[in-house]
Amino acid sequence: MEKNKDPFVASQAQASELFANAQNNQVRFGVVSTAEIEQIRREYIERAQRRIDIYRENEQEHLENMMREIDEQRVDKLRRIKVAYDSNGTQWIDEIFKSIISAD
Amino acid sequence: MTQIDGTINNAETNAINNDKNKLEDQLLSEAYDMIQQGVFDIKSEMSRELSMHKIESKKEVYAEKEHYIETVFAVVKKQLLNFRKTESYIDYLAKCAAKAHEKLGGLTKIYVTRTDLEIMKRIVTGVEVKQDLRIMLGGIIAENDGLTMDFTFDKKIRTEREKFEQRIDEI
Repeated sequence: MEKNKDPFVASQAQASELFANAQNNQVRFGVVSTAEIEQIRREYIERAQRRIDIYRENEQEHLENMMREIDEQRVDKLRRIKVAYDSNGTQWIDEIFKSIISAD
Repeated sequence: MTQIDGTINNAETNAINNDKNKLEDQLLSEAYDMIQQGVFDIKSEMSRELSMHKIESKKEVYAEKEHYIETVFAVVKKQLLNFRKTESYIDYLAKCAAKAHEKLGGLTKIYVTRTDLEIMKRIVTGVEVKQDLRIMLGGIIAENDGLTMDFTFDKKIRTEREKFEQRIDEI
């Protein structure tokens, strides 16, 4: 009986069947994709958060290095001022005093 | 599979892939925005923290410098107080008056502290000697025809302090 079928009609029927399957798949994809979308979204967010965490760690380390450098510079500056005062304080006072009482 | 089967399968696959690609693009974009915002927040936070640290550090250095400057000038002021009790101070006042007379082409008024009024009156003659409450540490302000010269210790201390601050900054 199949042999007697008009090839054109057979193709038409097959096409209708395949189209219906495709439509079902679309619907199925649509239903599944809601959960799938959330899963993918979660994965993307987790990956983005990991990137952010890594960036924060690196920046924190960079910040701590910069702060350490500032602290070292401050300690060095304070030490230099103290050393300069200890060795020249009396001389500075003398120079300033003489300059003030000079009428020139 | 007939040609029509293949065409429909391809269309189906393409539609699904297309949807998935669009979805992926959208989620990627969301993730990208999230990362951008995260990076911006972290940068702002770190920058703020670094600025605060720099300011605190500068404050500490500034306070220490001020401490030494105050120490130096407290001693200088004490020495000036002692100097005012000496004969050298009277010489200083006389020299200042002479210099002002020379530079200003004469003298009409001299301003001093209350305690220096009598001393100054003995040094100069024919010049009005007046008290000026702005003078705290000693010295004179000389005047002739509206022109003045300031030889007060108060002004000299200010000038010396500015010079000394620069000197300390260069350390």
